[in-house]
Amino acid sequence: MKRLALAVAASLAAIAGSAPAQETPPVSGYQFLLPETQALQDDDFANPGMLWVELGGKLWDEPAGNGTSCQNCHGAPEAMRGVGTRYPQWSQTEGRVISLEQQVNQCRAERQQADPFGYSSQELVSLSALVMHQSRGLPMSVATDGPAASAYRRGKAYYETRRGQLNLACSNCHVDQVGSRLRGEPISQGQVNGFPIYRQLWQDMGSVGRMIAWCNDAVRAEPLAEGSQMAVELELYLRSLGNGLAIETPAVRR
Amino acid sequence: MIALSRRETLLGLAATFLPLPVSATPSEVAESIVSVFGDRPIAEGPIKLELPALAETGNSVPLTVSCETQAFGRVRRLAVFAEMNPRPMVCVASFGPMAADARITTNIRLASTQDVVCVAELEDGKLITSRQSVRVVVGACTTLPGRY
Amino acid sequence: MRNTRIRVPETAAAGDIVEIRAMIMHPMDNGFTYTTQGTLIPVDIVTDFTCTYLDEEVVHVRLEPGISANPYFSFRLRALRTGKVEFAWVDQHGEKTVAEALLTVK
Repeated sequence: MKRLALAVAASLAAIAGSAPAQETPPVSGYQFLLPETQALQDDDFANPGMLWVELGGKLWDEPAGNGTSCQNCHGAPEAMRGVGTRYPQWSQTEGRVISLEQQVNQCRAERQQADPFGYSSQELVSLSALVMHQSRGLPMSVATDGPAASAYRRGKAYYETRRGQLNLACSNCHVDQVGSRLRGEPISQGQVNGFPIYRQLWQDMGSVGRMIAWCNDAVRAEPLAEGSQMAVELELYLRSLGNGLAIETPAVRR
Repeated sequence: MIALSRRETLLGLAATFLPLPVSATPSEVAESIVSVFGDRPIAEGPIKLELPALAETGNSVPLTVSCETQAFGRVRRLAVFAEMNPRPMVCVASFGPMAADARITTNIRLASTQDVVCVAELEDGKLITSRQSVRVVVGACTTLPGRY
Repeated sequence: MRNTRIRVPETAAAGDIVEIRAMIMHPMDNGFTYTTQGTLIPVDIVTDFTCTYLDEEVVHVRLEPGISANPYFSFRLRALRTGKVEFAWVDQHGEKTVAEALLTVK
């Protein structure tokens, strides 16, 4: 709690001391957790997300389709350090912004000649957790200009549009009410720098896509399908909000 | 056709939409203790239950139970019960000859704010117990269904 | 065989108390959750966890649905001599998952 108070105080001080146009600095969801949950994330053995990272490591070396594995092209997973900081990013071959999960599936289809994994499959979330984990500690830095600019704008519009039976936009809580409480739980900025996360509510690992669908359901809106273009563009906007925040994959959240 | 009073109808509707009762009765807790150890007297004893005072999610609450062995001889078994869970028994740990001490750490599910009870069986067959209360922000069994 | 993680120190001095940690990937379905289609997911849990050292038991745990998903245990054993620390998990269908590590005692 003390840390949360500090983080929020720091944010408020930053707002007060800066030009009115400047936005609140990003604060990781980690700062909104109780110490026990933070300790679970910080413990590289007990953090349940590491089970998925390890599973991803096994899949990395496993030949698929035409007999090649991720390792044949990329070498050890450590070679992917920094890659995760840039996704979702513009893909020249696809002609659209794609998520890291979609990049993995694109590799599988084109280079391994294998069937792509389901977007919410354990395999895909494990590989994505493995790749993101390599960038742990690096600042998130997605590009929102150039060819990605229109996707960024659509993501921002979605974020600020009210929807669902509760008629709430993402921003109504995660911008306007940060630090307030929703029943017993503090409202975070909705930062996604720890994804894929191990979420205690799910008792499972989930991608940003799964979280977006969950949030949609929570405000009683039609959930965006995981991996749909709108969900990926919203993920781009969410990640851009946290540009500069250190990647925490695999993070543990409520 | 059976005539239903307004009260019966409302109760029936409530029963349809409310989740199943998600807490055990005190007698169910007592029964599950008996199912593990038999019907024997239990005394208060120095078992240490380390739990956070406030757990933000009932889905995973860190728990360490330990029992000082010097004063009591060896501890054979430690059983953990959560009084307000729909199924009160959480786990039963038995310690073999290679264990350094009667101590185990794990993560447990709690349905609501409640007392966690540990019963230890000593080498001479005596039973001792201790309890610790935990406040739970969001329970493990009563949260929204885990869709998406 | 399910995905597991175990931690046993590589070396210890005779008489040392060493911490052992073990975790298995398992949803521990408690029978109170539903699928996206609204059907109840039945209870599906790991029921037994055993750790042995030098072929003798360190700890045995009987698990109930009150244990969190991906069951994690940590406990301590006293190092005597070099030998295997073995782990076994059995789920309610009888499927067994094992893991082992060598503890070298100097």
